[in-house]
Amino acid sequence: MKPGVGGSFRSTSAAGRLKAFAAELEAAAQASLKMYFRYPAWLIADVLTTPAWLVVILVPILLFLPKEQWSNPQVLSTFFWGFIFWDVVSAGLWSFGMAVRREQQMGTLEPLLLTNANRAVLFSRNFFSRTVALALSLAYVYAFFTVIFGVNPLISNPAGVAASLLLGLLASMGFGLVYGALVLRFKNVGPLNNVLQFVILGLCGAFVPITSLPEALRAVSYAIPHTYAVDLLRHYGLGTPTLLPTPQELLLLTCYTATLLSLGFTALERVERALKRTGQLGAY
Amino acid sequence: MLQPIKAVNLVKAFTTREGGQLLRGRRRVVEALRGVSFEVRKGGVFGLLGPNGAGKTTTIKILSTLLLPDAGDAWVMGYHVVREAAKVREVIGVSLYSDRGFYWKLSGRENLAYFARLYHLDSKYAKERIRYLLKLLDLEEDADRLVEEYSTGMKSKLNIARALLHDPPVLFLDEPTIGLDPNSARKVREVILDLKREGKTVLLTTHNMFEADMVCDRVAIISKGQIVAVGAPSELKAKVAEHKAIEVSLVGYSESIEESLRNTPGVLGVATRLRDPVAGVADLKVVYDSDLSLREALSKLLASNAKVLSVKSVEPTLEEVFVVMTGERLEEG
Amino acid sequence: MRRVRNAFSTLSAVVVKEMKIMSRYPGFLFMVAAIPFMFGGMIMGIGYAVAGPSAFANFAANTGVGNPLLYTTLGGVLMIGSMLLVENTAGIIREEQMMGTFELHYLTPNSTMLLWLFHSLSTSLLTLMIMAVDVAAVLAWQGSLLSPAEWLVAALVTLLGLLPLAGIGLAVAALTVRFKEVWAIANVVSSFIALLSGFYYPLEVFPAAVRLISQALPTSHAAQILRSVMSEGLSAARLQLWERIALMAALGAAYLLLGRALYSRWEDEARSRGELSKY
Repeated sequence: MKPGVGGSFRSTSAAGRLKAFAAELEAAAQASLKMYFRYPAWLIADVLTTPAWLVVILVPILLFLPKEQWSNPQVLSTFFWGFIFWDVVSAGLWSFGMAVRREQQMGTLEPLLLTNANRAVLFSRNFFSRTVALALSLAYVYAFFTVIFGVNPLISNPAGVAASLLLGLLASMGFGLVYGALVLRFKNVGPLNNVLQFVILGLCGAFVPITSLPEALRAVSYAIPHTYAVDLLRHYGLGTPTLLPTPQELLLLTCYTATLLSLGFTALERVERALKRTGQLGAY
Repeated sequence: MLQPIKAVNLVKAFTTREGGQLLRGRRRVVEALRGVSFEVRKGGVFGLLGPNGAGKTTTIKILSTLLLPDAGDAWVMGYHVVREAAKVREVIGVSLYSDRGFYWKLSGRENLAYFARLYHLDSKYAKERIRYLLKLLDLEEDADRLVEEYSTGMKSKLNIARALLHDPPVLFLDEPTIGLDPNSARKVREVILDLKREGKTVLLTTHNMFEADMVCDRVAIISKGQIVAVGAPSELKAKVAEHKAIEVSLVGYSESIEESLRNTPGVLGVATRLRDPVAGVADLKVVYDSDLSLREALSKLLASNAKVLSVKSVEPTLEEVFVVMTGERLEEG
Repeated sequence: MRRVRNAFSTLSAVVVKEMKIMSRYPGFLFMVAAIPFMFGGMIMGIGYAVAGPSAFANFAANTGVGNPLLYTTLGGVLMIGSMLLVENTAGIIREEQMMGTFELHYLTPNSTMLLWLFHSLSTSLLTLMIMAVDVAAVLAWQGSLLSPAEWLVAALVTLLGLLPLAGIGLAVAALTVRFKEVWAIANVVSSFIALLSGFYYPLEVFPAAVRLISQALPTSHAAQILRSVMSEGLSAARLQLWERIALMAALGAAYLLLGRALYSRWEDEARSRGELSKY
């Protein structure tokens, strides 16, 4: 096999760069989905644990309501969408936030950074598997809600729901990448993930509207993108009014997402450079 | 003429923490490289020979853009490793760890396919290239098994296959045969020699003097972050040719014995390998320049409390060069 | 006598090692102490937001307990403790294999079952410490503290409730030889223990058949006894206390024996296949 023949199709033309980017995206998607489906124990565990955690989390909350309200569709549907959104928040911290650190622990971070592949593509690989996971999650949580609580959760605008979830996942990814840069720098932040998860869920109003939060906390709520994602999700799911006019809120969330994504990739670039200086790139 | 690899006065220090009970203890600075300079000629195999902790991996990581030097410069194929890092990455292939660096739930073939795409190789070419490399490194049969089932040796070979994916002109191989059985190690050395015949430039690190002797055109001996000698293996051995060496096995080793040998006139270097610290069983390599010094060294040994088990004469190897230059054994560190 | 001394030496080695490691992850310790409050806070916050001012009255009517803060904090401590016990014990083979230290334990003159049990004991001790800190904080804030006798009973009940889970953990760990993602299985087990133990709700919310299954879990007994002791005092719980403690001890022995049997079987298989260090 002659060396150098049929090798890289990289070129300096835009068409060449586009082709390279597409190749990287395709490789990332394939690797992500293959690895997701090759952990069948986790896939099955997810389905089995969901009804258990549903009961463990929701029943104590229902104890604060009179028994007659325990099968109120509006109340249960609010919890349903809150539960789904928990998945989105969790993805931001665990799937995206910890992704870079996991590559470091596996020893694959250095080989990845030895390529000139687009860092944005490399570190957002999990987006593909998370999208599939979220769709599956939506399906079986819906089924369990129906079976356990005898109520069909409300979905008034499926297309709107899909758009909100997708935007929410992207915003979560942006947040996760900024967080991921910190994780890469400070390494042991696992406990922080758990704390942050609850804080974000509380502040973004996943289970209750942020209007019921104290004024000082509400200001923080307005500053995080998750608030708008869950607000839009509830609007398209339950038909509840939005905090801002819907088109504006959509635009705000989109801009927020784009900003977070850029910040995330910039932060990772900076941390990459810092780690190359300290020699900690391959450290685990 | 532009050399494929050139390093000028590379310096690198790491900060670590040591000691401490509950918290992490005090700061310590470790000087990994203290002004390393060398050049590698085109189409040759250049070895960096030294014990663990000498600075070999640090050097490779700087040259492959994974580590930023504190001072000094380096160029690969004329591109500066810091200012033109992206260009450097296009022309190098790197094999780093022996058993990490792969996705466990992907097969060997799938791992290579993933990286092939990240190197922007055309799909059809990538498929053929992967097939060729798997065959070259005797991984064909296991190519479609998940990496989590691979042995250390297989992962090692897969690492080398990945470094060769995009057919780069320059290769950095960090301890390429570590963890391999003798047959696989021999296979890898053959591959390295083939690459040299193809005109590739290879920089490899090793602490195996036999490997350095067999495969490398030129060797740099590195110890404690500094290059202490550079040259072809034959040139380096010639430097110690007039010197002779014996290996003494004894029981009851103590540092004072080693010290008294070192102080013997005509003894150029003593290196100890302690096989049993409790019983004091040790092998001492003594490099000397004349029969008179040998007689005096042996007299001191016999007069000491140690019991000499055996004495044998050894042919000069790169280890003798290492001992003379550094006073240590290659396997230490 | 020598055997007792050796066992004690092993116990102290394991406990000291585990405590040192845990203390070097202060973030983890903080998280373990904080999660009962965070989870409980989330439940109470949402409950109050949804139900309004009548929230606590509804809670009292539905549970018979007027103090949701103590109720949820205690539930949280037990839930975290049970998750730690199951997941740490289940994961121990895999983790130690990945670090390369697993096989080394087999080179020591100790029963490996005892070694892993001591590891579980360390985790239980951690849970006890957290319970002491978290629950004491809530009780103190509410102006009442338990008597020494009540604390002793609480500690005993917690240990009896949680330690048997090590048996389940060992049973799951024995599956490592087939299923590499042992934490996925541990996750399933933890979630069902949390579901059936009633850490956060009275078991009366379940149908009779489910309540019967709950009785087979020492954690469900622990949750009920501890709630009773902490909200009403030792005397109120005294009536059935010792019978329940005896039942928990019996269940604990059964779980530990089951775990031992499955683990020993795995051990023999791994030894004959040379898989002790394989990961």
